[in-house]
Amino acid sequence: MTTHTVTPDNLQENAPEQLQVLSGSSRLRGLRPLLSRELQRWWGTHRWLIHTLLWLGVFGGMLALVLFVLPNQTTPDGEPVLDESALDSGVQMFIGMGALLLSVGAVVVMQDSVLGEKQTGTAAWVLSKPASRFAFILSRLLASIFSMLITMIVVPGLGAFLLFYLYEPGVISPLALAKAQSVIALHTFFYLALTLLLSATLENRSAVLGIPLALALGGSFLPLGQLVRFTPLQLSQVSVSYALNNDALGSIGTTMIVATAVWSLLFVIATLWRFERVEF
Amino acid sequence: MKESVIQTHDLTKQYGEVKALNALNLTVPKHAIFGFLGPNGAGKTTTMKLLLGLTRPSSGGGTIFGRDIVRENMAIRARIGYLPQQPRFYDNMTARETLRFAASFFYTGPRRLIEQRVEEVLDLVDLSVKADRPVKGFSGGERQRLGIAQAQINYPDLLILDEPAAALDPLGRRDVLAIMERLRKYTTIFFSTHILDDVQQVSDTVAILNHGELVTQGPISHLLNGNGTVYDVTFRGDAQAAYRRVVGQPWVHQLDVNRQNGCTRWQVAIKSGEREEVTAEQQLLRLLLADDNTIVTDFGRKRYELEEIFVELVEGKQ
Repeated sequence: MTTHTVTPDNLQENAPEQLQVLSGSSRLRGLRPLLSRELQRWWGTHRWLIHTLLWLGVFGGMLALVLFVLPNQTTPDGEPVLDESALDSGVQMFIGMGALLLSVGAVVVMQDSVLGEKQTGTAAWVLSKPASRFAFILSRLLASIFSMLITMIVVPGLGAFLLFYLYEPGVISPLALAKAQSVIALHTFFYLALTLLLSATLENRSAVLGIPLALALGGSFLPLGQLVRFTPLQLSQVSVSYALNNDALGSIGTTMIVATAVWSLLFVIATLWRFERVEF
Repeated sequence: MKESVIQTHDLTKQYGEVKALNALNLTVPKHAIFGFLGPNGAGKTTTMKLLLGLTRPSSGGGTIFGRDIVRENMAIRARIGYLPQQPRFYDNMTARETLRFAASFFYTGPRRLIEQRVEEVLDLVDLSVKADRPVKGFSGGERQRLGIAQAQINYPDLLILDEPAAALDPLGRRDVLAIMERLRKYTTIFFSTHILDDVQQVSDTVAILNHGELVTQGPISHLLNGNGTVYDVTFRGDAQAAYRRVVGQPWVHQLDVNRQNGCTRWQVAIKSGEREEVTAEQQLLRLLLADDNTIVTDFGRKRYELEEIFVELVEGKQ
């Protein structure tokens, strides 16, 4: 074993020329280490496993209950527990309930991503390095989208498809389920982007959590009338219709999808704009 | 004239009605260890954040390495190392991972050299033994040392250290000051502190800030000389004749007398002006030695402690 002693006297003389130095001042400067660190938080720990098992268990358990257990159950009056077919109930539960749970999950996961770092001082430390604020936000957004998509949507979606297949092969086409899941992904992204904006803008954690949760849980009670088509509040119904391969909502569904995408994009742009102006 | 690394021009930061920093004009020379002093809330941390681009000026501006602190901040940060007042890192990362993470903002490879550099700075701050422990278990002093290590990872041309020794015990403080001293020939160090002994020990240039305004700045040797020359004289015996002789000299501005333990102590303030100072230097001791009734036991130019200067300047402004 060899040992060496390093003193500050030879630090600067040692070798900076041989290190490949990053240069440039682009808006993406610092994205690579920041994104790598964010992905590491998901995939370098047990976090991905916990999320995958949690969402797979919740959705798979509920869906299995509706498809395989409840159809054989009756009330004390002898009436069947399910009013509609097990398939319709299963899709309603998996997508309708799933959209709600995923939006709550997105809010909980994202609420600390910027606010926590602003409050503890790690954001100021990172931004004292040659890293752009644009890259700081983008890294959190990209890592969350990718990781949540896999652990909260794709894997539970595959599990659900398997259960539907076991219930009756071919009853749900993989394409229809993928289309429905894409709409749910957009719905989740809306809440993720909204929480990110609030997290970058506000200093109050209750507000960052409370506003999107109130919208997710109580939004359907808002008296919006026709305006509801310009919100994501009934997007889960669009997803259900896609899964069941009917187009019950027609152009209203398309409007909801476009409006949700536009809102989400606006939230991301507003986050990037706002974070450029945050003072540490 | 010595090349300057930091220059600010009327740098001002206002929060609502409160001016945290008012028209700061600061010049930090290259290779200086520049002590930035001031009471709590004076605006020291605000100044550092403005220089780092973490906060935007309300008016005025500045340059570091000749580059604008607002428009060219990324290029500036590529050449700077920064230690925050209360360094906070990602708790689940180890010290080694933290340093690798810091290095990844500056270097793309080769991996071997990056690892070598991480080892070097771990050695520098004596954290090699704890390199693979998560930061969340670190004491305040260890975090501070890790903070210095990460600030040094990119061979910075300028180190900005916000209260680098505040959280350390006396030995830790001594080590940090020694590191700063050794780094002087490679880099410029701009550090804030309220520990005046530290400044007096390592700084060559200082600035004092109070209520967001610059009270004074310059080489510490000038500052420690105070306003004008004062001689300290201690002697035994009857000093009445000597007193009359000295106080009658045209170059004497003021003579204060104290008696203590059978000795007499004079503080002889000399009038400002080169001629007066030279004459005093030539004649004062001769006048005292010529007096047969007194025995001079101590004689010298009064050297102020930084604390005296600091208190005088800060209180004088209030």
